[in-house]
Amino acid sequence: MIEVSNLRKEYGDLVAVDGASFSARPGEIFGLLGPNGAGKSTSIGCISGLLKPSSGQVRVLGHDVVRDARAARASLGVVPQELALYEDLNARQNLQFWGAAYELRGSELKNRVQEVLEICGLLDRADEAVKKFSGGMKRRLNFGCGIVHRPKVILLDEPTVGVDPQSRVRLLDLVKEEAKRGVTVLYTTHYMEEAQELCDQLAIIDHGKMVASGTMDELRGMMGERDLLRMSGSFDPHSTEAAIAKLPGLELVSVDAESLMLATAEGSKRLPELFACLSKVGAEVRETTLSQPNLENLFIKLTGRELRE
Amino acid sequence: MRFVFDSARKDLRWLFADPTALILAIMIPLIIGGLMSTIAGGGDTAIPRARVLVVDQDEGLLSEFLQGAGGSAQGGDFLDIETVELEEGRARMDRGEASAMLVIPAGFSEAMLMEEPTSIELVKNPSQTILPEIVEEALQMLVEASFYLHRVLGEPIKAIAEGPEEEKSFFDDLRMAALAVQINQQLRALEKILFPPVLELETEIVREESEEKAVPQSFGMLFLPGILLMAMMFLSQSMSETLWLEKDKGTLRRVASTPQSMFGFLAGKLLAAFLLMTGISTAGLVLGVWVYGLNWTAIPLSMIWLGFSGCTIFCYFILLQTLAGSQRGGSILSMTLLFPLMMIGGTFFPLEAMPEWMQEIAFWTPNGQAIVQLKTVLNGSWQGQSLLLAMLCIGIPALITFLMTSMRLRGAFLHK
Repeated sequence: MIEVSNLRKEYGDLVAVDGASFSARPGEIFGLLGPNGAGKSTSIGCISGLLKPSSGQVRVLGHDVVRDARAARASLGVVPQELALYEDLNARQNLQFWGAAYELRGSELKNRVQEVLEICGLLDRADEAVKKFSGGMKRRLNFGCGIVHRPKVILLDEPTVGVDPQSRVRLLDLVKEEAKRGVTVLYTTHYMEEAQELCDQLAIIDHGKMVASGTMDELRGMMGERDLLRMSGSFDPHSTEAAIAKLPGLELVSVDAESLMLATAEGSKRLPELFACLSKVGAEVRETTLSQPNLENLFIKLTGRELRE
Repeated sequence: MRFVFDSARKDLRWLFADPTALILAIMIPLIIGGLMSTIAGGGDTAIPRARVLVVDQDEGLLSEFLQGAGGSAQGGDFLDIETVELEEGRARMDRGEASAMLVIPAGFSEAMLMEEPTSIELVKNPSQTILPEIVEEALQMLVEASFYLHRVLGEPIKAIAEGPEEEKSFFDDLRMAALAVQINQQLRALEKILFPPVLELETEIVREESEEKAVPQSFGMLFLPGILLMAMMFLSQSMSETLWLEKDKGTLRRVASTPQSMFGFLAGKLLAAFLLMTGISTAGLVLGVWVYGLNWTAIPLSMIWLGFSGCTIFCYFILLQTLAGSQRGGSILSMTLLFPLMMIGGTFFPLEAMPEWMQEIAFWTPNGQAIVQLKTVLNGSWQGQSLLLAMLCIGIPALITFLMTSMRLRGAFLHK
């Protein structure tokens, strides 16, 4: 179990994480979704004990990560965003070392290494130098090194970045299997599809702040059954905002001189009425995109910008 | 504690998986040491000797003098004179069996005594460079000596060379006495020049008891401690850079997220360094036994001392690595320390070859201290108290730097 309350991390004037609070239960995959630089890795760093929080509290299985760091770290398995492997050693030697770092010894270590090699699909390449592995194989081994000691809590920091689709599916399956065993998983990503497919609970983070959290259903509920309309062209923000306000059921998400974003139910049916209204205030629409309700739309609705910006 | 061994095992596996750095760390000191030893004229091999074939067609007094002088005293140290017939001499020169061949023509002695023009022929072996030059130089000196001998004792020698009067087989007593008196007078006149006052110097070598059992120093033994310590220093520098590799590969962050302490992780690196250094120094010491006749009994303590000294230097280098802003910076910083330390610490040049004031400085460097003690261990004159004192002198600062490094690893270095 992970409990984070009012977590704040500052680097001088920069606030990387600003009052984040959430909790993840055993057997649950908790997703932290946000663009690059949103504060996801900093949050993981604070939870894993690599970074000291400026304020707030983080507890892992009831152990405070600052005051009871050793006990907290012993129950954690960390899978970092960048590969953290000894590439001149072979896969077995890597797993042996990281297992030993979590006090596994003797036959227990040997058996577990064998098991993890099998789980990760690397048994036939176990004694080969890691530097000869493909990117996907390295990612799987990176994951294996994080779970070799059977941790009760796993922190995965964007583990699928730069991974081919096949290896990604394999990795996501491995994460699901760990959750099924009752492990608490904290998973950070900026891939919307991954979060939708994998996570039971989700928190959306932007500029260090949590802008929304809940189950997938709860988050969809926040968006409502509304489509997102994105228009590009030339707009006068003040007159556009005033004109939109007169149209019932249309929610203005953002507007500037070149773009307009709106949320509305049955968006395709509202288009003629909307074009007429915009035409009256002198707006010029060059392109219109309509998308169904999803996490990305919610992120845009909450932050006014795209997730991959 | 067990993680220290796990960490050491991992580091050793890591180093042996790509042994390039390891090989370089061993080869560079061997090459430098070999070059230094060669430049200094070292090595325990015998002095090369020049074989000179002499074809004496003259068989006179002076030709015998030339041969005799070449084969005796200082000339005998590097010249092997062998009298041969002309044909045999040429054949052997063609086969490259001699450095030079000297042909003394018939009538050489007579011509010299009569002060008539004459010449001798020297054939040099073109496949050799130095030895024939030595022969030529030596011959020139002998020719000059013959000239001055003639100037001083020309008349009596000429009389002896001409022999007794025609009808007599021997010199009569009067003539012989006259020649002897003439030679004696000439030598007396030149006594002060030819035979300067002889000083008899009585010397007594006073040694400490412990030095009496010492192995005699040779060039090899002079350079061996430096070469061994140089290998330890290169290895320390090279291994210290693994900190940056750990950081750049993300493994350092991963270690920091485990329940293990950075102290244990670093201690593993230190243990790996110690094992590697003792292993390499053992190989070097066995070589010392084989090549330079080093005493077998000196190996165990020398091996441990070298491992310990190398580890203390490793501690300084790892701190420098954590103080640098990048791997490149760390490399430059540690190299900046490595080479001056080797130069002034008696590692690059033997302490014995350094000026006294530099020896004083060397004594205050960790490698200087290490090398001084290593020499005593190698020649069997070590004393427990001074070894322990040196161990504390270089060990305590190293321990402090080690602790500082382990603190910096989780802090400033990890988050650079």
